[in-house]
Amino acid sequence: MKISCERLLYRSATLSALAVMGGLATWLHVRVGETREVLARRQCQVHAVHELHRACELGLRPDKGQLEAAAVLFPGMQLRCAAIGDALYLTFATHGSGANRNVLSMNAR
Amino acid sequence: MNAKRPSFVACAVRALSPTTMIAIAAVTFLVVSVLEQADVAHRARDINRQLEVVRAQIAAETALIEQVAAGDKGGQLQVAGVHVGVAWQRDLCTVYVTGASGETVLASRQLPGGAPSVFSHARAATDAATLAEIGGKLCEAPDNWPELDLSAIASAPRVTESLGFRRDPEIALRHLASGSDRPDYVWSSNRVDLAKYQSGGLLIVPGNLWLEDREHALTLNLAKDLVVIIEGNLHLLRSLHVRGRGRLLLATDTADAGVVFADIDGSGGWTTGDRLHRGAAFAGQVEGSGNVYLGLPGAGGTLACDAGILVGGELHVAVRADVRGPLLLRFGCTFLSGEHLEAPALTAPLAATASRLPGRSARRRQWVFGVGRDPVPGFLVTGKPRPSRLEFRSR
Repeated sequence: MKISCERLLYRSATLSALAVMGGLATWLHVRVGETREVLARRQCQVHAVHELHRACELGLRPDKGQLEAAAVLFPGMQLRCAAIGDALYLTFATHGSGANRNVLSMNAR
Repeated sequence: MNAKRPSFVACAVRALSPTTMIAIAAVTFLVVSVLEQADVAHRARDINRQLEVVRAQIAAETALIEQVAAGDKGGQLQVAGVHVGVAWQRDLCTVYVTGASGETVLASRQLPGGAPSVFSHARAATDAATLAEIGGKLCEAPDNWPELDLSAIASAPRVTESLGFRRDPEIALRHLASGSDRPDYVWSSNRVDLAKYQSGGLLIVPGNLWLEDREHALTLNLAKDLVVIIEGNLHLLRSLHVRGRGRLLLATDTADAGVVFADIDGSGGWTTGDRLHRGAAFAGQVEGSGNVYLGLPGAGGTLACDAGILVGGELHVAVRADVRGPLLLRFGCTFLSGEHLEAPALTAPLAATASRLPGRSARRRQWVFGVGRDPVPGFLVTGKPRPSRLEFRSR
């Protein structure tokens, strides 16, 4: 069977488009998989900070490692556990150095 | 010449050439990937929103602590990249946190101090033998036992019929041979809606409280924590279920007369052979004060109680009971049987699981109060004034 030049061109263009589409889909799929992993990790971190906050509310003092791990979610910030009597509060460190120096500014009314 | 028209099946088979199939697969794959991408984007937004909420909570607490330290009442702050506005109205502090995804409003109350530490335990008693019977860990010294705040109790609302209570002069005579000297109140409805009830979290029963024996449990809708202080004895003869986020604490009071005894025969009143906990000789109201009865002797059946119980007197257990809130005993625990003179006492009839609202404490998996920041109205506090636990108003 003889295939015309025009039809051959059309077929190769179609195949090229399909290959590009397939490549794009594969790339997207891989990226989505990677993003899912990142999101799962981030979700765990957010959950951990949330639990840390609740633990502080209940009066369970976190250790330094837990505070440092939780601070990863807030670049340039440090977390600390402030206390008034036996009441604990999870707060941003306001008297640090470098990046933390300007964490808080107050204009009382 | 008439060419024969190809059938539909033939057309379909011809259409499914390898090229077509590859095209369909590629398009499907691409569409699925795009949909996945959209799903991931949605999830990322969701996680970022959760992060914003946590950031808002921590920023709000930072602002509250700074306000306490500086002695300020209100102001505008910049905390960790978010704008925080603080406004006070009496003892209520409203915190507006404006982040990347909008405004989060939180509220906190100024507490006069911390609640007694015994409320941070699911089971507590003042002597080791009683503690062993309920399987608790905290043996609190009697001097550290929670004391009632008499001024708060004097100004707190009393029970009313609209809350499902009614006075019943006959109920004690129906159940107890000796009746009672104090007024008796019955929590009588099957369903009581306290979802919109505003009482400052404290309600007083000026007498004995009965949850009378019925087929159905008493079900309460409770949106906020509520402490009910009973100036007499509590007779829990039916199950008590609590729906909603609120926690119910039933506390019996022994402050007025101070006559506390273990009702060994389960008669509901003082008789020879009962054991006095306080005082050299019995005096005062025949039913004593502060006692709690879970069922009546000979009644049988089981009870489930979603409330925490602070027993100012003696706890008497006559039926199998599961207390799903904290169980705190100032004096002892007496197990009653149907025929108390002949039959042996019930074996292990009491389970104090504190299992209602387990999510409140992620580590302990039990319902306890966070005494540093949870108010427990009606009891004297210790320590400095401090902001309470944050509550979301909008996010």
